[in-house]
Amino acid sequence: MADTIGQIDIRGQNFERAVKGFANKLYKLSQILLDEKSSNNSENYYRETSTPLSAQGNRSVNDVARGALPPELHPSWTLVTTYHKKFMGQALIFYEDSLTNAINTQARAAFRVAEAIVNAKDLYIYTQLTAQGSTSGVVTGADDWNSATVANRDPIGDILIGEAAMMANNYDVLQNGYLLCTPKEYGSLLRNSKVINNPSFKTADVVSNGVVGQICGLKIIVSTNVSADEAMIVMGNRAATWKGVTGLQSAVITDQGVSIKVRAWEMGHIQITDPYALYTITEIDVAA
Amino acid sequence: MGQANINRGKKWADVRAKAIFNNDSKTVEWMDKQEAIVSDEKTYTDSIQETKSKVKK
Repeated sequence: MADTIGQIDIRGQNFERAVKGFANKLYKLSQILLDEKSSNNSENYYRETSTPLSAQGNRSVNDVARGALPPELHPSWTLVTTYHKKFMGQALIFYEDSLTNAINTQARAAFRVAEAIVNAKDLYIYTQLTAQGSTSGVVTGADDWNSATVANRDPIGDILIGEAAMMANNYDVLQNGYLLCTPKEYGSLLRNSKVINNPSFKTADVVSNGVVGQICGLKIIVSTNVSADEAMIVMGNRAATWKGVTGLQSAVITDQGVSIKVRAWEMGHIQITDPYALYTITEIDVAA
Repeated sequence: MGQANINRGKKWADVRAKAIFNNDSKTVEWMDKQEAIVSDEKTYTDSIQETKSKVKK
């Protein structure tokens, strides 16, 4: 329809070519895993039973009688086998669109496809960490960290109880410990009076990898992939290993004059070798 | 009721079944000890059942 003066279609319009309206999610969990290469389908390791050996029956290692034979001790190991996973995805862009679309669809598609792989990996890591049994504990916090009753908030207590539980299992979490929490728990933690009133709280190291400071000897990692209502203490490079076959790779496959495929993939899997190097604090958020 | 515990309870159901299959009594015992999670999941399933029965009436 032809427009006359004052009608909509003939009014000037600008279109920005940059895509806006969202912030990229950050992926931070890979750094807590020990990174190892793999070239075989399955990965196997032996988990040694952690309790010290003791004599069975009526005998004891302590105070063996003169001339008596020693009691028999039975160390044991469990074979653990894990298999690789492939994370993969692609996007198809028609040739015509790649040339004439208002925004750079190929560049955006490449970025978003790669992001999907990294996101899936991050989420997979956290899911595996929380599905693990026989950890140092999954313990309910003393009270919610954002409890309406301010006097009941005790995140530092919860964290220290966790550290104590891990150290009781001989994992010195002060060496390379991380505290994983959601943005909300992070806020609740830092606004706690014990934290903000402490002049020595270390807020240096505000770097892009998300390690924004230390608390009770733990480096803090804030991630939206951590489940709501919980925080986890992990011993870095110890609790779990990433067995990688290939790192994140991408390829552009061109069907000349027809389409462009942007593809990304990664292959590997997580092994939780030391479950005792994990500890989870739950029920720390009022709303969840 | 902790939503995180409920989610974990669902994940753990599989892990526990696998542990039983593997005769891994230590893991089963450890999981059963985590009372908060077991009770949270039970409260949740109970509340679902209750809502369902109300809908039927």
